[in-house]
Amino acid sequence: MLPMEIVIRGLHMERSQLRLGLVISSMIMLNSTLLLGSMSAPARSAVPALAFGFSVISQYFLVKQSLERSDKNIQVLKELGASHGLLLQTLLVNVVLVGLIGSVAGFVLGISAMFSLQIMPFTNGLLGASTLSAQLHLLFLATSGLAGMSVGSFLGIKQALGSR
Amino acid sequence: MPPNYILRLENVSKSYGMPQHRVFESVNLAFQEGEFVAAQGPIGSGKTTLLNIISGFQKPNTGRVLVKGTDIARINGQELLNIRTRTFGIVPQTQNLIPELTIAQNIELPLLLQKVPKAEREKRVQEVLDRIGIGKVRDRIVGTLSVGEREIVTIARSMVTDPPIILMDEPTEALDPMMTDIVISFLKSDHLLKKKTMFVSTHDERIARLAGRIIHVKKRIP
Repeated sequence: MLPMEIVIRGLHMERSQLRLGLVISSMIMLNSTLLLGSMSAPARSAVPALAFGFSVISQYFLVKQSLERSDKNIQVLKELGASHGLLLQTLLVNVVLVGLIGSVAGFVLGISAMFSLQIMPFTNGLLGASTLSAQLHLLFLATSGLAGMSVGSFLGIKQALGSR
Repeated sequence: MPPNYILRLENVSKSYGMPQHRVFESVNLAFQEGEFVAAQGPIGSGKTTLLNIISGFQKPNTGRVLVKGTDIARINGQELLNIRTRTFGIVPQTQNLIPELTIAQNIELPLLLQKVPKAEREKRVQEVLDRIGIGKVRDRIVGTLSVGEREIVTIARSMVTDPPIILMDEPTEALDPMMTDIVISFLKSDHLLKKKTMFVSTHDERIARLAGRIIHVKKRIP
């Protein structure tokens, strides 16, 4: 895998863009967690799907836009012997890592906010007063958010590399 | 004893587009190890295409391109990539450096992609930088360099992997006389010291004079 510095400077994955990725993924998870806590039981099952959808779309456009600027540099790396697989792997790991940090941060913030706002009865469920379903909902939400972020990153990178 | 050919082109033909424009037809060329060959000819005669075919960036329509006995016109993907990166040092006509990286980082890239260990990479980059006398400016960002300085960095990068064959496409085309002198002395010393096989497309008579053999590429009249 290429070093982080080459990825950031050479492939234009600038810090500002990485920060934006971090903020977007954490906001999606934060809002989804709060939404999950404030909705009635039947509607809760739609929240992970929403988180998945938003994560795919936001990551796809963020990654694609970021890599469009590094068109020439990707070409240089290919000419020097970087395989398609190596570029895909390097970018995917770096982008997913940022998304992962953002998602976990957003998730933790969301749960903290749920407790501070005393969103009931969901918090009771989390504390074990109700059923296991609250924990399962949260687990499903986290998985959907991470999966959406990974799929969006993959599609964005694939699109950017594939068009060259 | 038969000559030791490191690179051979057999009946290579190339044409483009519809209707087909023939760039060249049934070209036969052979390069011995350590030979310095220059290609001269008018713009559009196919010198760059010839270099691209030799390095595997373009495929001939017919014929064989034998690099150390392997026909690279018939292979693709990772196998071609491996042969290209281990056999050729390439200086293309349009500079292909990453402007956001430093001189040293750009020169290091081919080694990085070949998974050379860090200590070895550092050593080889410093060797090349010292040989061309830019060791002290190794951390300058390439985007801030002049065209001539970038050409020097491109040449340095082509040699950092110590490839047996070096291909250069008009290395002094955009350079002022001082930079041209630096490039020529660099080519001279490396050629003499390390016995590389070199194929250089050039309009510069001084570079052509360094070559042991000159190939004249003629423009085809369609």
